[in-house]
Amino acid sequence: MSTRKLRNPRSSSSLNMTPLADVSLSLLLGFMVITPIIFQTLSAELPAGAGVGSGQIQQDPIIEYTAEQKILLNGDEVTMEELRERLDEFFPPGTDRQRKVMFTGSGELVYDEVVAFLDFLREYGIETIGIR
Amino acid sequence: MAKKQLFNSLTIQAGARKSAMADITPLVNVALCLLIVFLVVMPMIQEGIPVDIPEADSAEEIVERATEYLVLSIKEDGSLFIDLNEVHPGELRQALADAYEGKEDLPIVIKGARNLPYSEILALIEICQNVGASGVELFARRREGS
Repeated sequence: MSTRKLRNPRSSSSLNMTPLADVSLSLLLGFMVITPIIFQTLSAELPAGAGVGSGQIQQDPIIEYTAEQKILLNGDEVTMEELRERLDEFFPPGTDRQRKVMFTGSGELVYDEVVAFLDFLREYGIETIGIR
Repeated sequence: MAKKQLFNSLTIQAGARKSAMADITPLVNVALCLLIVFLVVMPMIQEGIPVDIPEADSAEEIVERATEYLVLSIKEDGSLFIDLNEVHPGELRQALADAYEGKEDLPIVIKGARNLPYSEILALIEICQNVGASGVELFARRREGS
């Protein structure tokens, strides 16, 4: 009788690990499912070899960003503000024309400056930027 | 006597129940180790090759099929990587063509260091075009608060 009394408290003192296992397995599954690989990017189209001379691409406004950080829209130098106005003329609000431009950047520019300019175009509302 | 027999059988049953309970301590150990490994490794997997990329407000997230995208990284020192493998500049075209096989419907993600001359990125874009990519995605970190 006395041995039974001693044995019982020992068995009840063992730690119940089941809730810990539940929580850790749930956390593990949660991390495996919730953390997918996510990229944050600016997308750009590349002209296919045969498509460079096609009419559609020629109709799209061509924006050039020079080494001196000057902006040329179809060959005319414009400021950032003027660029917005000129793009409004190309893509009048309310029309369903695809907002697409062709972009040429000088190789002397720093990549960060080019991305900042492409970011400006995307913020303006350009949907597709073709790089050439 | 019958009472004693019943008592004995009950103690045996209780004892059997106690010993049948599985010891889940190793399971907890493994699960917690896996959890810690995931916590440590996942940011490294997501980050890929560490490159000081430019920031952009309009950067869009690619979530779907992100693991299938081919990431072409160029670091500040000009070293090139396809996914996590370093590539010699002279072998880039062939290595990229091989890696891009079967992924022709996806654009190539270019992860360039922000301080690089744009000419280096242009050279990569040209190679991407040569291997048949219809577009590129320029890796950019979305600015805080945008």
